[in-house]
Amino acid sequence: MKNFKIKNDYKNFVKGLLSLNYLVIAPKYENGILKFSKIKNAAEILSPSEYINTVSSTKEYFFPQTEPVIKFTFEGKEIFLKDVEIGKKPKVVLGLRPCDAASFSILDDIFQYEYKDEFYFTRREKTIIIGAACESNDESCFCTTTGLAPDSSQGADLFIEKNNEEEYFLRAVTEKGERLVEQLIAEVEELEEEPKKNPLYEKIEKQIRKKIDLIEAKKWLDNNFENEKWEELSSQCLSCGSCAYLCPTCHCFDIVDEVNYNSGVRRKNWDACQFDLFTLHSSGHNPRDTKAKRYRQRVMHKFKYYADRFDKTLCTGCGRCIRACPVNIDIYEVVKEFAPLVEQN
Amino acid sequence: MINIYKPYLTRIQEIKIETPDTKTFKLRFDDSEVAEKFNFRAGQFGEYSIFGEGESTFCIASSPTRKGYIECSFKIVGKVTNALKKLDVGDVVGFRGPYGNSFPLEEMYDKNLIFIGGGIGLAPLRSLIWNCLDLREKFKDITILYGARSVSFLVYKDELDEWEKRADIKYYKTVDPGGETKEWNGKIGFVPKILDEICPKPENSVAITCGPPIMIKGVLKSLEKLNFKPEQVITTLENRMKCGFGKCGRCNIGKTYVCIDGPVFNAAELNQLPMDY
Repeated sequence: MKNFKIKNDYKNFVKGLLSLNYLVIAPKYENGILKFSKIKNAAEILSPSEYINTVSSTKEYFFPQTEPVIKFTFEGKEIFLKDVEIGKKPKVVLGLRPCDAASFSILDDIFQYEYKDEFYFTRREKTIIIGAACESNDESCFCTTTGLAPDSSQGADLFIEKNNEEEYFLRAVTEKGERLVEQLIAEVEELEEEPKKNPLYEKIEKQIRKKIDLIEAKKWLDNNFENEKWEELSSQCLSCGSCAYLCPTCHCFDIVDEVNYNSGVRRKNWDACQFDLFTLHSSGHNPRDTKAKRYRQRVMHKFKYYADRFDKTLCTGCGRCIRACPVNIDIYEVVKEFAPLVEQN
Repeated sequence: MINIYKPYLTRIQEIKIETPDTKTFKLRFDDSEVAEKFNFRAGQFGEYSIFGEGESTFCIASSPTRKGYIECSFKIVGKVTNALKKLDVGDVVGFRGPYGNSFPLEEMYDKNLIFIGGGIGLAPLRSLIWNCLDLREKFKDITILYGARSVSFLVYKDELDEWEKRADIKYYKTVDPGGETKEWNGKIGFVPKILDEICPKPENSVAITCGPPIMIKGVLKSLEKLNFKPEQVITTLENRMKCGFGKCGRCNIGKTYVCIDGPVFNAAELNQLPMDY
């Protein structure tokens, strides 16, 4: 794995990126909300020390909140289908935290299982992911529980860290990342030696909420589909779906048609298992007709079902669902109800 | 780019009004190459759509042995089915599929088959029944028990008459008490009760059932009483679906996706699933 020092400051590095004709997506304040947006000039960029995390995740750049999958036009009784073009310009998503970068290796599994969703994978292939280690955390973060850390580069093509001298350097995690750095040779310089770990990352790791034993959590879930706890845990839930929309790994969607007089479009729209209409049959039967059943589905899918199927946890501990929940449901506390903390020395 | 969401265009060739609320469409693919290459197995399903209204999930109700077309039967209950009911012969219907697993046809060779259907639940069974009848010599006895809440709600009436007349099928029909007419010559009583009366033998047999959940529950109990092992009892599940291929996340029962791991399950497999369907 090659490492590269960023020669000048971070903004200059971003300037170099923009000059390569990439669409650069990075954290940016819009109406007071920090989210991933298009960066037009390097002055807009926030360095990794200037934010903890964005309100929404980066999944919308691969799996948009609403996305046309087929277009159609009517001519009398005839119908003509037209394929949808996905933007051809290569993208760089820059400055995403380990909890977002790790979400792609989780989502890749479901989007290619048996049937490959090319809408997702075309974007994946065209996008280079530059992660950035966390230089601070808040009380909602719990990435260590899911096996990550403030400096995990999992899922990133390139990863930005600070060395001991507080200088930013780039770690080439994949070949795709390395090829990008080769084009940025004016901005970076290859390092001969592995940079020394900045103690900052270990310090943050210790500040993050203590690690829960997810193996034990799964064991409890294996045996407690029926448990009165579900009622209790979900009693406050408003079924608003904020948790699912902000989650980097939630991937449920709906397919709906939108139509004008002589044309229309079929769209894939985000959906959420917390909505009561989500599983409603047209017969009136609803397998998940109570909040308790729907909340159980959310927790089970994240910490048991996905693990049963793909051997992965459907959660990266980003804490967004906790920050956004209007009634303070905290999935970390929920899991802690039935699983112990990992003993740390 | 291969677009897994892109439907085939099919055209309605024939419309049959089955019951006051159920219709059957015979669909032919517009693209002759697709029509020729299209293959499926009994038990599989598809996403049928009206452009501008949306998609709906139904099984393929025709037999894979009848080439060149597919059929779907649908009950008029929701947005899409209410739009479908207004279509005429020659109109276009979108189709994605076939999806899901299928009935284990080859494992049924040389066995006695007992089909137990209720209402529109006969649709997936009908695909398999014709599949088996078209390969009749491969199977031993074939028994069909079919019921509906009243005479007017029996689907595929012409075919029921045909099955009744055939010497190589034991055919029983029933309607729920109160659903009979003066002319009714079948049985009166709920399907599980009639099943108890018929008392099929479990030896070298497979029972295949589909119908309303309440009927399936009763039928599973009856078959257990008749000493059918869970592995000898096959059913097909329905859960609300959107994508049909294991992505959209709404048909899952535990780790099982009804759309890719099902819709066909035997009772032993059903017993392993959490009660989330």
